[in-house]
Amino acid sequence: MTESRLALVAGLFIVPAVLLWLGHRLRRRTPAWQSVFWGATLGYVAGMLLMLVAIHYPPVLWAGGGWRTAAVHWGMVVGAVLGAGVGVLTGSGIKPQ
Amino acid sequence: MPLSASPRPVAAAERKPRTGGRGWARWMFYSHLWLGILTTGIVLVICVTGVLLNHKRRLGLMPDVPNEAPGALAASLPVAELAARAERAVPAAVAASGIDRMDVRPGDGFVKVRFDDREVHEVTVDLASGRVLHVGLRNDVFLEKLHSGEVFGDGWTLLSDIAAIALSILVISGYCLWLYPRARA
Repeated sequence: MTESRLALVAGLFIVPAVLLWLGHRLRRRTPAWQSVFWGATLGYVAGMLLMLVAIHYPPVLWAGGGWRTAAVHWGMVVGAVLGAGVGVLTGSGIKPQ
Repeated sequence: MPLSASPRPVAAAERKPRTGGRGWARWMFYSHLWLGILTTGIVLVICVTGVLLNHKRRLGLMPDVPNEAPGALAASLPVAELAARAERAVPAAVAASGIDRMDVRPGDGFVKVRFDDREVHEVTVDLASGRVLHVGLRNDVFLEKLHSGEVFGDGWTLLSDIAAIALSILVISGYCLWLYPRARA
C-alpha cells in the first residue's frame, strides 16, 4: 500500500477515531484541550469537504500526481493536523477558569 | 385499597431496566456513535456518487445519441471495420489504450465503442453506414468505480462493503435508540 493510500485510510478511519477520543468528556477537559479538539474537528470537516469536491470533479479518473490526487488522499489528514495546530496556537493563551 | 403502600409511584422513566438490557442498549448507542463517525467519509462519497449516477443522463455524464435506424443490424458493417472507424475518431493516445468493449444497440442502429483510457472515451458509430455519430466521455464509468471503491484498486471494494454493513447497523441501532431512549440510563 502506498503512502497516499495509507493517508486516505487514516483520514477515513483513524482521524475520526482520534477525534472521538479527544472529544470524550470534553466539558471536563482544559480549555486548551477543547481548542485543539475543535480546531482538529473543523480542519477535518474542511479537509473532507475538499476531498469530496476533488474526488468528484471532474468526473474522470485522476492521474498519478497533481493537486487533485493530493487533495483526495491527504485532504482529511492534513486538514485535521492543520486545524489541531491552529487549536494549539489559539488555545495556548487560554487559562482555565 | 392497595396491599402494599409505596412512598411515591415510580415513574416509567425512573424504572431501571435489567442489566442485560442496559448493556445491550449501551452497545447500540456506542455502535451508532462510532460507526456513524467512522463511516462518514465513505457514506458521503457513496451518497453523492449514487445521486449523480441516478441522474447521469440529465447531468450529461454519459452521451445520449438519438438515432432512429430500424433494421440496421441486418445491414451492419463488420465489427472490425466499426472498431477501426471508432479508433480513427479519437486521438492516437486514446486509440492506443485499446478497446474495452463494444455495446451494440440494434434498436438504435449503432454501436458504442468504449476505450480503455483514463478518461473513458466512447465513440458512437452507425451500424450500417459506419458514420461516427458522437465522440464523448463516459463519466458515469468513473462514478460507478468510485461508488464501489474499485477506483482505488481491486481490494478496495471492501470499503463500500464496510459502509453497507455499517449503514445496516446504524439503521437498527437508530431504531433501538428511538424506541427505547432511556434503556441506557
